[in-house]
Amino acid sequence: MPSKSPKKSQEPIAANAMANCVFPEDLMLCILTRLPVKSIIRFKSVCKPWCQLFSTPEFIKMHHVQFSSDPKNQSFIVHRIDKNYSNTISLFNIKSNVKKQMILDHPFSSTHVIIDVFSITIPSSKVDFEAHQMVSLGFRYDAERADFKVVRIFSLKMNIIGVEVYSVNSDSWRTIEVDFQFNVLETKSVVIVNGNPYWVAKVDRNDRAKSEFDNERVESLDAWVFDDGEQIWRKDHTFRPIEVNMDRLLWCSKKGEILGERADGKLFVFDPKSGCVKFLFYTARQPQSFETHRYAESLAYIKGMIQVNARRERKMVDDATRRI
Amino acid sequence: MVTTDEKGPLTAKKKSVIIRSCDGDEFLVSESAAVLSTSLKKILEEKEDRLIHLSDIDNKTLAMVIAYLSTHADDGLSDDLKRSFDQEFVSGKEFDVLKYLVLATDTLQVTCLCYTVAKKMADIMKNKLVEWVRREFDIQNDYTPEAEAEIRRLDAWAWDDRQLEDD
Repeated sequence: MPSKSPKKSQEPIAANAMANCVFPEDLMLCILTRLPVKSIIRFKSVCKPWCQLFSTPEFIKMHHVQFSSDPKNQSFIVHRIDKNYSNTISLFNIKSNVKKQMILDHPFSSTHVIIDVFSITIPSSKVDFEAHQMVSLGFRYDAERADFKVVRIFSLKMNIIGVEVYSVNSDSWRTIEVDFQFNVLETKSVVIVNGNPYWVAKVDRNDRAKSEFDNERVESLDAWVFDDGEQIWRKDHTFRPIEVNMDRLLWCSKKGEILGERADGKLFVFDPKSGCVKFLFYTARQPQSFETHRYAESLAYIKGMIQVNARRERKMVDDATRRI
Repeated sequence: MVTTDEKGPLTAKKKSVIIRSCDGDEFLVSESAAVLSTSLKKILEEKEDRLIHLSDIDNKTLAMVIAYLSTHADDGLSDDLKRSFDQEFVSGKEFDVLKYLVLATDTLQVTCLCYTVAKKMADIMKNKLVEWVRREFDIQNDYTPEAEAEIRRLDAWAWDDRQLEDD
């Protein structure tokens, strides 16, 4: 009996990818796209057709969509700066409450973009770095062109705001025209949604509404969601104020869970729907001494990207050669 | 076709169909459960046949699929209960059993069960040796030993000292 697939794709992803496997291709794809990146990389050596399949843009996209749709994969990276300015990077899974130390030592230097354990070096932009008063970075993934981008907002003296975009595919910077005055307060985009970075900006307008609210009288908070397809705000739900004294909001999961920092530096996850507060491991030696970043696995390989360990090894070889 | 008496218990009053496995066992299934399978739904729409013979699904696998369909057709169960049933359903099952199950979901076109089983299979596979994967899926190794060593060397980071399983 011919097998019918539950989700028939219009055309096979890689015509011969499953040629030497008796299992139906669609089913095999269904299973393989649910594997973690590390397993997929190891399974490249199962056979040549698998190896080819794993590097096709279609498979990479399918895998990424699959990975990010699973709530169990909600993880974030905690970057802690200690008193002696040493860096610790941990990977933290919100569901399992398990902390894993990552093998990065000093990854965040100004010219490097860190993607998991890989880094790439990008050329500097035309704008004179010295003249900047403030720089804010954002990362963008252009799914249509399969291109990774770095967005840079900078302010020069005299309140001139500039926006530049670096594209990995073209390996160059492009300036974007902005026709209104604004100020961003953070050094990086506040959130990345569907591959687009978002900032909170202060827009200079005279008709800006004044908002005041009395802390003592807050009984409920409304969460509003911005739909960037329809460009409108919608009220998502209302929740009671958190009983924990939140000092900083660090991260928000797709399901609406909030990662916050208490005034004493303790991290917690708050679920607005159930009202539950779960404390995580004690990280901060002193308040506000760490940053958090959303973590997602992807098979996407960026041109020019090298593994951090390999870079370290290469640097050691270079240093040794120089000594000789 | 589908009964509108939602409050009534699942009884013989509801329309049912008989499904026969390839080894001859017959199962009485309520129509509301059967139509959760896209293939069975099509068959039932095309002809008024109350006996469906499945030539490539054995009785053990069919019994599992039917248990799944009946649970998901039960309007009295909340979505949360159904989700925990799904987890319970695949837990502890051998990889071989899951293989037959996923093939059956493919034939019967039960998408949600297919995804649940595929996820479970991936969870079992993820820490296995390459040799185990080749064995389970009957895949020929078409690399020369040198080429295989080279491909492993290029992605050395994925081959850390973690314990990989072979059974």
